[in-house]
Amino acid sequence: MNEQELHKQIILSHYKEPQNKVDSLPEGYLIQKGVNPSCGDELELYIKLNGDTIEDVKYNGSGCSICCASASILTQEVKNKSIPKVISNSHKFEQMLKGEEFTEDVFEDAIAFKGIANFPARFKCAFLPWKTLSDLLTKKE
Amino acid sequence: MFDVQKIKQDFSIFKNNIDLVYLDSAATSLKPDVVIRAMNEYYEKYPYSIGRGSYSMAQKAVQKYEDSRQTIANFLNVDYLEVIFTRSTTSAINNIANSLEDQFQEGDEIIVTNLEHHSNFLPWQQLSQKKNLKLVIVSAKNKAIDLNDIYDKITPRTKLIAIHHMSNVIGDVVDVKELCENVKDKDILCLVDGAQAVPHMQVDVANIGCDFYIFSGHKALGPTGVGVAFIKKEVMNKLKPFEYGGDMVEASSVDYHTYRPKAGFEKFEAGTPSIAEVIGLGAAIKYLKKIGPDKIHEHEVALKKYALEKLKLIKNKVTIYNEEFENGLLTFNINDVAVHDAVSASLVNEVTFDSANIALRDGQLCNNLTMKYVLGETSVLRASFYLYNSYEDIDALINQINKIYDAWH
Repeated sequence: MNEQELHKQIILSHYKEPQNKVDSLPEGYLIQKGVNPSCGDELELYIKLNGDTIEDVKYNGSGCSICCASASILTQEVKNKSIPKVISNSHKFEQMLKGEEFTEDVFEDAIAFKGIANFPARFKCAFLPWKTLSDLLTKKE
Repeated sequence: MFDVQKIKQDFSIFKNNIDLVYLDSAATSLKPDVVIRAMNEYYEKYPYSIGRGSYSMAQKAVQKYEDSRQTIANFLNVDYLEVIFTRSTTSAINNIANSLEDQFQEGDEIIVTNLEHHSNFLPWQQLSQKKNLKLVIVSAKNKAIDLNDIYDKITPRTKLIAIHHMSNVIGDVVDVKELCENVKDKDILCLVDGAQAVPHMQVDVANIGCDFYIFSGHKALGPTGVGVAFIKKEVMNKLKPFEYGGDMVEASSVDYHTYRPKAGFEKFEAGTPSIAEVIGLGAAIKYLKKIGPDKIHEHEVALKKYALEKLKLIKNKVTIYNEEFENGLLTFNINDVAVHDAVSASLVNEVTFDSANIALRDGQLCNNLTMKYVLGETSVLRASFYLYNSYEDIDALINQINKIYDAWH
């Protein structure tokens, strides 16, 4: 399987079987909402902090395959990482989506979105979960 | 017989993009060559300002500009002085809301519906918040407005009803004539958003009897950057100008100004207008009139009927939201496929409407109220039909719906 096909499979598997998706706000979690008003992507991130560490992230929402898979992958990528680290990774994720140079080794499944650089119309979809999380973390910092 | 192939020859876009399946006319229509030519002619042959210089060359520009106003006045069956050129429907409604500000006192009420486009909702929400007015929202029943629900909400404090003529998601048509007749003795202003109606049906504004009637040029075969606000003469006198500047006053000095005596539209058209666009809109309305809005409507209804018959055969694959309304709007979803995935390609999906050169609208259609409270959806797809659409376009649409569904299942 080539890299492109592998990335496609990662995204589709998260879209079809989302990780850490819940129906409502769990107790003890902070909430942050994100929307892409033009296309209808709607997201709620539920974040549990422990000091400056992200202990857990869950989400609820609906949208396209790219947005939903990105949310699912995000919940895995940021777990047990520090707030500054996640803000920094969010910036790197944005650089990757835009086709700019970035440090690859910080990502696990999130690397699957590298090819979005060829689909600029889908940037907003892939970035919404990360932007939503950054919005909350920047406030906390 | 409605000859689509002949009509298509009037639109250069179909020569430049031969396979184009354009199903997004409710967002913006394509422009016939006569419109583009009329605008070019202005820039190439008489590109002068209007209402300022007295040199004779500018007179042709004045004449063409005012000819457009007369064409539109005739088309809507209103007086020439009551036709105001604005930038768009959005701009017109915002301007009217601002101009009405002094007419309303705290506690006064404005009625709107939950089928309104943002352009006929947010300006009233904004005004209500600013002036402490009560914004009363009438909910659709069976996806349309029952006028009795409006009458039930009227109180002695009701000052304005702002309502669509044809809505942009469902395409229901409100009987605005009956509405205006029933409230005319109550000292309530009626504003009708005709953005979706004027391009698709014969509209007689005098017969409707409303105080304001608004539409955009670009949805009615005209250029972007120009819209029309009809304001009844008696109401004009009560309003503040939209803007202040050149070409609107009779006299002014350091501490006063007076508006032109027989003002009409002049009070509301400060500054140099979009001259080429107004001239283009005049050409568009003449073209629309020549083909006939009623015939266009019939054609659109026939296309939708054909589409619905085809969709019946694949009813497990689609959800249709406005089947029962006779118009050229088909609002739907492909089951279990996100709208953005249906329209736009990415690394996980190649088969889209885009890949078949089909242009249609996805998302919330600038109408969160309808999306949330009437359809209960976060987003939809909307195919909108117009005079240049053929049965082959519908076949292409259905064919691609099938392919997209299959790609995700």
